[in-house]
Amino acid sequence: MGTKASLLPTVLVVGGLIRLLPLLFPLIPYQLSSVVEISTPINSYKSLQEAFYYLKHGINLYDGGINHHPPLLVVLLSYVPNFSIFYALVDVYISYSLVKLHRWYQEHNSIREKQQLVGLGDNLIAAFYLFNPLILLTCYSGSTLPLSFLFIVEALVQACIQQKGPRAVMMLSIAAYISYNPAFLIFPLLGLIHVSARKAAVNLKTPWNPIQEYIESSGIYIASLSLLFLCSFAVTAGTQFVDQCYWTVISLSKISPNIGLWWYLFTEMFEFFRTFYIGIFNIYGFIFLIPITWRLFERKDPSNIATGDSFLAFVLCFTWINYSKSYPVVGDLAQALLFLPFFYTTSLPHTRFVFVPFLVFFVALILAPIFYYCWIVLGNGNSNFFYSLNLVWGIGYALLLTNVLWGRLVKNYLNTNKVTPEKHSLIRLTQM
Amino acid sequence: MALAEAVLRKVHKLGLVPKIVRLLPLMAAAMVIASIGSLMYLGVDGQYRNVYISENALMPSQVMSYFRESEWNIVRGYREEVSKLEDEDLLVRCAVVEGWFKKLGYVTSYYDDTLYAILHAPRGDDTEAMVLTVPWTISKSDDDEFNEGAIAIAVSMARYFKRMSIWSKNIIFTFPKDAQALRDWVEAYHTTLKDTAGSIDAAIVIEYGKNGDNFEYIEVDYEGLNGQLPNLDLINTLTNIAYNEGIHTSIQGTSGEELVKNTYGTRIRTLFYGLANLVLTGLKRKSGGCEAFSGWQIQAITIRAKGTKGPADVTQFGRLIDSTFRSVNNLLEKFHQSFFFYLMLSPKNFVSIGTYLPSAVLMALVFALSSLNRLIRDPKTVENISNNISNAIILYTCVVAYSFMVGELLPKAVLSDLVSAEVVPIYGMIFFLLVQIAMPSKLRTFQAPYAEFLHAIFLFHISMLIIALLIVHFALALFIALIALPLAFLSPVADNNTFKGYLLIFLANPFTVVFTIDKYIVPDGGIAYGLLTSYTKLQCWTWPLLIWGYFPAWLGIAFTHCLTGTTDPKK
Repeated sequence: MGTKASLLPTVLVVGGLIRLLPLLFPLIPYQLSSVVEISTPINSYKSLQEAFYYLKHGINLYDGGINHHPPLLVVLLSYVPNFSIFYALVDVYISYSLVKLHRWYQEHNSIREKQQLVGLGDNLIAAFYLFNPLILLTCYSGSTLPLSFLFIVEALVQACIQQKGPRAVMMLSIAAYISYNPAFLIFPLLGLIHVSARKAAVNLKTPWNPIQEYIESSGIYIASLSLLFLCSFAVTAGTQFVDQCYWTVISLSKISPNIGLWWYLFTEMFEFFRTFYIGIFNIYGFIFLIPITWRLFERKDPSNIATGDSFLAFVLCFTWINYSKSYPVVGDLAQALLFLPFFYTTSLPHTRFVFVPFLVFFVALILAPIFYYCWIVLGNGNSNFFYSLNLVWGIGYALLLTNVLWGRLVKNYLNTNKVTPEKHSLIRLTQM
Repeated sequence: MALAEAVLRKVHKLGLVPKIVRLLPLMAAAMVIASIGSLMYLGVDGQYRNVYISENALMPSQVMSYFRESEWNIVRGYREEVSKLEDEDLLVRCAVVEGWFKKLGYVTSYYDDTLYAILHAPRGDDTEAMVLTVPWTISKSDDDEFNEGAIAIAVSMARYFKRMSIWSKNIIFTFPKDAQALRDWVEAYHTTLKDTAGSIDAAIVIEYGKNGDNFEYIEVDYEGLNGQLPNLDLINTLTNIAYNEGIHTSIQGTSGEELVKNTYGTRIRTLFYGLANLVLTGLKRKSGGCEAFSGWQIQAITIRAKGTKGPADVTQFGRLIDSTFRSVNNLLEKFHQSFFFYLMLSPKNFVSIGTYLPSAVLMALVFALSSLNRLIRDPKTVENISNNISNAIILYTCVVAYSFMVGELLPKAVLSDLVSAEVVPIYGMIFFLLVQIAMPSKLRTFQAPYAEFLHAIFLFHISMLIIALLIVHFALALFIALIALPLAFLSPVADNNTFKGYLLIFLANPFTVVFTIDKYIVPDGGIAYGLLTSYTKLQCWTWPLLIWGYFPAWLGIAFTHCLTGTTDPKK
């Protein structure tokens, strides 16, 4: 373990350095921000640059309908002198936070399982993030995706490691402010806060009321979101930003091809069906989050048996949101997959064919640019080609989610029935 | 789900999994046979379809073409004048033809030494165009035959077109000196040229040499670069018009009696010639010319008059062009979507992508299964993955980087005349063979699990390459699968340092394949030169795909093979 831990600084430094490539080739962000799989009009580098120009010349940020970045973000980022260095620092910080979270997760579950769980090395966890090609491409493209991820990870750090619920929900509100979709992560985050607050209360032997905890956290969440909106209103002197930054995402008013499921259906839909399906798709985006959180909630068991996994619930919800959002990119998948190595000791050993979704993603990643090229450049393919791969992409997500969830449910079963590890292989569970 | 569950339980109960694992190599071999079998089966009745016009607006042969006997003397007159130009300099020829076009009222222009003339359509909005290309020489003749008849027909057609008021698309005439000049013109048309006539919908390249007043049948070329094909409707339109004129159409070089035959043999022959030509498009020294339009959403074909005695006369050749242009002129939208992926079995029969795709998918599966077989044959391979993976990634990166370097440097060396293109494949064949044999036994340090793992990675790489090319370039996907086949049946341990091992690797070497094709299959076709230069000159992707796509996998397997220890390292 000693030698592996010492590799972590090397990984962080090398991971940071390779992110400085755009310093040598300044055109990379502009080229990558036009690739539909990597960047969308909502989070692209180009539109951010446009917003800076408006800001500098005193033009209303949302004139012309190009900019979809929230006002405070534009104002703050306009002070960033160099984006390559900035994003490199952001990514290194995220990877270090992930390392800390991974350590916490193993420790937390070691206590629950009453045995020492040895996860993967710190350097591997950092390397999974820093050297993931999809994360790298997202970083090079200069999209604002890593920024909202930064605050999501920070919310996890605050909730789990620091055990500061209020700070966690504040961080999540910032992530939601930057990109709307993470807003619904409040459900699994409340679950995590509940667990860590309970733990803290048990340790300190203080009385603790979960209802109060929920009301407080939700209140702070709504309050900080409102504050951000108020500030934005004050900065732009108008409510146009709500329409441009959030309503565009909710209503998919800026239709352009991406790797998600939305765009194709809404391209040719009759106007009078639109409202209905917009509603359906949006409800789909969050309706599964409460059941997942509820099913995997770490209940206080009188016999002290570890069932549920609130952290896994958070990760699954995050994966679901990244899958069902209206403007997804490959970076969204990569961010969801990052957490998988965490479950190396808990859920993953009980999954059945977890390599299948990876093959599916791999094939879809290879073919998507080719089919897009057939459609747009050669003209011998059409949008069906590209969309078929979006569907394949969706199958990958479905397989991944069900697999990991299944692994955890098996683990729950083995724990509640006190099956010894020797007998694990003898039991073949086919349904729960 | 209940059904899946029942099946899974049954599979588990019968212990099928280990049995299947043991049978993997056999299954791979069966899939190779199934793949080739399914291609051969395409020629059987019921597997292929009759062609039909998908876009109703085309309405081929529905109008009376007036390019008839009345134009005879005009064509002959121009031909007489054109024949005088044969020994003249290119620019002199162009000047004469330009003079004719100007007199007819055309806008003429030059790009480098390619003359082109535009007829702005009287009824159009000047946004779409059709192109009639007339190269100065015939591509498929040995002695660069002067394209005399075609130029005469083109000028007569220009005179004829000008008198008609029905055109809604502009018509462009181009006179390139060779395929390269045409390719450059097409690129310039879409990027830098000032005199343009809107987006080009369709292009026809015509070749009519010194056939005189009569010809026997027409030959049609349609292959584009990078596996692209023109919309089948365009070929169908032409075939249909030719049929109504009573002219036989030949594709893939069928001639003589075969023109009227439609048997299993002729169909399969056409199919395989078609696949081979699709792979070799852009690489051959003499090309049909229509591939110059690839990549710009232009449907292009080449029509060539064959024979001198035959029933058809020269104005009929003009009518073919006229009627085809009239059909394309009818189009209000683009060509129909479903007609871009097909294989021709005869001018009247084709197979669509859904029918022929499985054969290449099976080939991709062969490599996927072989990869899986390498991985799980010995449990030690999987157990040692975590130890080997970082070394494997480094080796993989090195191999890919080396291939990129080779892929960049070799064309540069050939283009700057440092090496002759014919020597490159020979050098590549011998060099890698010698390196393998001469590898000192001290360096043969790879353990069996590591070697098996590397093999699995590189076979998976080939499988993914085939999948990537499946739709966009089916013929090349199949070709790469075939040349890589020996690797699927190579075992890093059992075949180590054996004659069989070296032979299989030698056979799969891309340089061996290029050498064989260059020397024996298409002799004096200039394939080696074409392969090495076509990416730079024509944006043909065959070289990059071969050297950046397939070569790393071959190199990886070849080197894993010669670096694997033959003796127990513990001694």
